[in-house]
Amino acid sequence: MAAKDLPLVPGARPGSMAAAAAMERIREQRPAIDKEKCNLCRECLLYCPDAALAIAGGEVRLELRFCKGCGICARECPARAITMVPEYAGDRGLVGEE
Amino acid sequence: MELINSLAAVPDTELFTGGHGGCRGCGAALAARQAMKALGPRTIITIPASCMATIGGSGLTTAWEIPFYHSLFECAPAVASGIRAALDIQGIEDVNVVSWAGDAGTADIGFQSLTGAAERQENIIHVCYDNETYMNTGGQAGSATPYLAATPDTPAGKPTPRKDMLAIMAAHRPAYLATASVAYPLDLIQKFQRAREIEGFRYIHILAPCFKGWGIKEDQTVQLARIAVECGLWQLYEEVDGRRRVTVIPERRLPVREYLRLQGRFQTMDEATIAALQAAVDRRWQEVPS
Repeated sequence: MAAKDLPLVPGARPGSMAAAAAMERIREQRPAIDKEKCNLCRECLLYCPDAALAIAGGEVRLELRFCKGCGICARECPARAITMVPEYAGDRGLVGEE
Repeated sequence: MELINSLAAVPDTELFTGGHGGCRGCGAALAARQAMKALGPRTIITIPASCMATIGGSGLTTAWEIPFYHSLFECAPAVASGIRAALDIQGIEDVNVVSWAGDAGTADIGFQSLTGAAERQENIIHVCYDNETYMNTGGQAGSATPYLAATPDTPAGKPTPRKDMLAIMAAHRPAYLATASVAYPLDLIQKFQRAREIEGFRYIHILAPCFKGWGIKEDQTVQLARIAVECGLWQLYEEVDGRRRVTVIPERRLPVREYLRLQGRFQTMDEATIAALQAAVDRRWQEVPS
């Protein structure tokens, strides 16, 4: 058998982790973005380790499936437009779903 | 080549996607995300045993949008050399071949294959993402761990200073050598852009804090990576053919004490040691033309 005929090592499909992402399982807090304060400076986009932030339709959009709630965006935002809010608020239960 | 000069010019495409297995506030994942913005889709990456090799997925699922090969601990630069040879023989020229290792896969366990690849002047980019400990196996001290940093196996602080990997790699006379920090994404992206335009062996060393190993909060990854630069301990520079250019000069250098006191791992460090470290940093910066 020629080398080129050998079967490829089975590989994972690109995009499979993104498709299966469900970080609400581990997230304890989530960013709340104040759209009035946000000046679209894009600083937060490249500081998110999880690619959860993007600009679409003239505003910062949050992909909650990716967000683990680390809070880097809130700490780094120069306009202080992001605050972290808890996912679970005691007897008030879970913060509302989007 | 046009350098990416503003955040608006950074491509939106994510080649290391969300949904990966990194911890909250992972500095390693952040480094990969930023670097892939410059490396682009025509890239093959090989990663030895490390956090980065596991958080990007397994054989079943992956966060990489480019070919990723998980090598053994000792041999990522050797595997990358082989990938380059295979591309060369097929006449494929437009691919960046990257070996991406942690500080252990670079300075300790992976060092023999790294020094070999650098000596052979392999046409690859080696990246060290440096969190200064063996975080994937529980945070043990390694040769990149700084002096007096507390780790599970040096609870009273590491008794010896950190190995100077930049000096070691500079002694190999690489075609390109640079330091970067996840707190300066444009600087990091531009360095990867320059590296990919250069042929030969290229070495990029990224400071990528780990909240667990450093004793900081999850949201302080970028903050500490920035203060490391602002206090002068982590100098951002690049060297082309051995000529150094400092790329970020802090306007007002912070005292190194501020950087050290923010971290849980340096709690045993006394004032005399901090003063000696400050003096060493000051001496180093005297050589930098302002």
